[in-house]
Amino acid sequence: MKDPDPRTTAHSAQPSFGFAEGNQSVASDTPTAPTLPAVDPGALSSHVEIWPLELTRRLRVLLHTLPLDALRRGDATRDPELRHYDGLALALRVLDVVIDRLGLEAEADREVVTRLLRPVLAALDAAAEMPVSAERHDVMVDRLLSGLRNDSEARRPFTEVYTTIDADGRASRHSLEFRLLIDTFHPSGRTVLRPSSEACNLYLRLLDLDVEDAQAAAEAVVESQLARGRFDEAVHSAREARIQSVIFREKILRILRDTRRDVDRVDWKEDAPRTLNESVAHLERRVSVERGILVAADARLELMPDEDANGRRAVVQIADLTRDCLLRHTELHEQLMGARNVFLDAQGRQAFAPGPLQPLPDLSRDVLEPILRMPVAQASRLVDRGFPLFVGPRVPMLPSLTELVSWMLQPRRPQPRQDVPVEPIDAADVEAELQRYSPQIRAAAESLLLSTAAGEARLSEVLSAARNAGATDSVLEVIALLALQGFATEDRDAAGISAEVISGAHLEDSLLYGNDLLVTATVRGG
Amino acid sequence: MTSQHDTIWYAGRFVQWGLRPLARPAQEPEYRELTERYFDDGAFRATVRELADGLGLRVLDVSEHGIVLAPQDDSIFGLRPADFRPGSARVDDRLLDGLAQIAIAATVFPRARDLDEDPDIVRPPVTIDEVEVQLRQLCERLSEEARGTTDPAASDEARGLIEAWRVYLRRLDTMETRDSRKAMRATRRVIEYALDRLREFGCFTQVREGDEPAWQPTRRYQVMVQQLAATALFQLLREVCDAPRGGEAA
Repeated sequence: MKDPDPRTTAHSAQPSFGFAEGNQSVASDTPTAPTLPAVDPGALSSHVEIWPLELTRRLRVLLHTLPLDALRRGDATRDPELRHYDGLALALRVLDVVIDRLGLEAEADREVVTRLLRPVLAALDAAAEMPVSAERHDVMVDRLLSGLRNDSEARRPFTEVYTTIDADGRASRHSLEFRLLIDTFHPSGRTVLRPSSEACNLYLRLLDLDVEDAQAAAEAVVESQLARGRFDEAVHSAREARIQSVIFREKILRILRDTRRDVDRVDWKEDAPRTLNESVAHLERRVSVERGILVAADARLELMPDEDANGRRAVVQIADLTRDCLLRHTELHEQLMGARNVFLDAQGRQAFAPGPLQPLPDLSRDVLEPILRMPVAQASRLVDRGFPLFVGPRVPMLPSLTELVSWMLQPRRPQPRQDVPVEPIDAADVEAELQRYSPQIRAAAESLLLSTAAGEARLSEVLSAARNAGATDSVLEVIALLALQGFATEDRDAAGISAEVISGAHLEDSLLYGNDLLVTATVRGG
Repeated sequence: MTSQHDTIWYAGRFVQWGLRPLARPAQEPEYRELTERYFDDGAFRATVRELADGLGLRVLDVSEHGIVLAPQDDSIFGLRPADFRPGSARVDDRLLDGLAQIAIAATVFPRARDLDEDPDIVRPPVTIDEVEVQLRQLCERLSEEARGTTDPAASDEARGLIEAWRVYLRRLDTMETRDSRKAMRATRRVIEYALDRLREFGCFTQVREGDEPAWQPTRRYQVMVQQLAATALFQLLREVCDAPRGGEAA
């Protein structure tokens, strides 16, 4: 059943989780070169004594943590203002965010990660007595993401070399390739961050547990904790159970996605049908357990006294988390029911897909270089033929008589004005000068002004009338200011006064001097 | 009203969506419906493929991201280097535009196995510098190898018999002059133009890497190169190299 071609092996093994045999990364886990001389096999009682098989598996698990370790070691060598950030703790929080959002409508992208990491970064700032800086946070998030994506090596998988002892007692070096965080195209056109299956396992400390088992375990724990009234712990377990259900869903969807894309990627003879059957059974069990938890949570809530606010909150939270699991599982159940059809459809569709796999070229060495060596005329001919494939289809334009006629008949559009005259704006608030006076003075001035200038009056007259009525200097100043507002045309509405210069006339007043104005009350009567 | 249309009409609509590189099923209800139908309805699938084939198009990929089409050889949808840069029909310019395209793809997919990766995984963005350095280093190595051999005859040059790398290296000199009009033909400008056009075709988006502008390949571009362009060009190249010398010179 197993195909010796490493590429096919990789794909058929893809749906399987865990670091153990069957993992995606096994395919690239190829011996680099036997480096040490063989030990005389006769001297060995048994291979297992020298190198228990279990060791290799554990070793490989350990290797997956090295990129995280590198982030931690990077703490000391980062720019001084970033050194107080704990790379390892932050990286784990990034994985937590990304895994938590898997399969949700709003999958995590850089913005989401930054937003959720800010409080953590701020806490680290506070601990180091550093001022909080959003800019610095952005830089640190960049560092974290680039460390987890392996940006320094063009986002290729991390490659870790390790040594094991083969069955014949020979030491051999292998290299293990794996990814942790992957930038993925989202149908919405965004780029979202997704964890690799290795990252999920690493984060969840699953190591060699099956996802299904882990979830059953988590839910069993929720049940028992709920029964024993240990609510805070139950909330934690329910959260764990929810993460498991997210991962489980991802696992199934990956099989379906891979099948849609390339039927040969998934082993539909044995692996996939078995996984799917098991998954259906698993889901049915989970759904019934989750319903049980919900019933138990409801019953608990009824019995709990209202004063136990914390307890009630915890139980409500457990119920919410469990309901979320239930929803995901019910949805997934539907998808699983249609899974067989996905396979049959894909098979029918891909039977006519473009021919068999051709050897993949190294574009620089196998294509670009030979073309550069060619004579110009020959190279041009070749490039001319290959060119359209790299730019995609171009739509040829056809002349349309209808379009032409309607274009010619349309009224000439006015040329958009190249420059718009900008009215100079007096930035000063009209009211600003008046603010200096108390409301009483302003009200007194306003009423005096409006009563005197009910028809039309010279400002000199208004002022002298006011002075006769016993107005103070402040009131007179305000009257003058209001009249001036009325003079500025744009302020007239606000002032309720309009004023015109009486040419040649001067203000006759002991306090104020300047041109005399003809004042008229406009809007605000009385 | 739509119910009176038959499968062929819908297949035509679907192909038309594929020719709008910036459209997405997530944003266009009709496009989304047709994509779903492509998955669910075998007869529709066959019709879409037939119709596309008749138009000179190949269906490279259909997913929730939409349909990706590629022009067949001699298709009316194929964009030739001569049409790529309006107003320039010189052989050298066309060759450089073509080389820039291959170098861009080679920078996005530096290793053979990168072409085998899931096209959903976002490849890192590329910069003009990266593409330029890749091409220049290659040309300089070839120039190094050619040292000691006699320089090409002037008549060879006229007949297009000098090697392609010489054309590229010659352009580098032009770049060093401070004349901005000439710089338009310099290699960095050629690459920038290529990336800009690819952006118009929905193959790249522009982003920033630090202070430098960078171009992020789209899924559509990744699919085009991974599924077809890389292997097809490689195949063409092998055919040309395997062909008897005399026939090719004609």
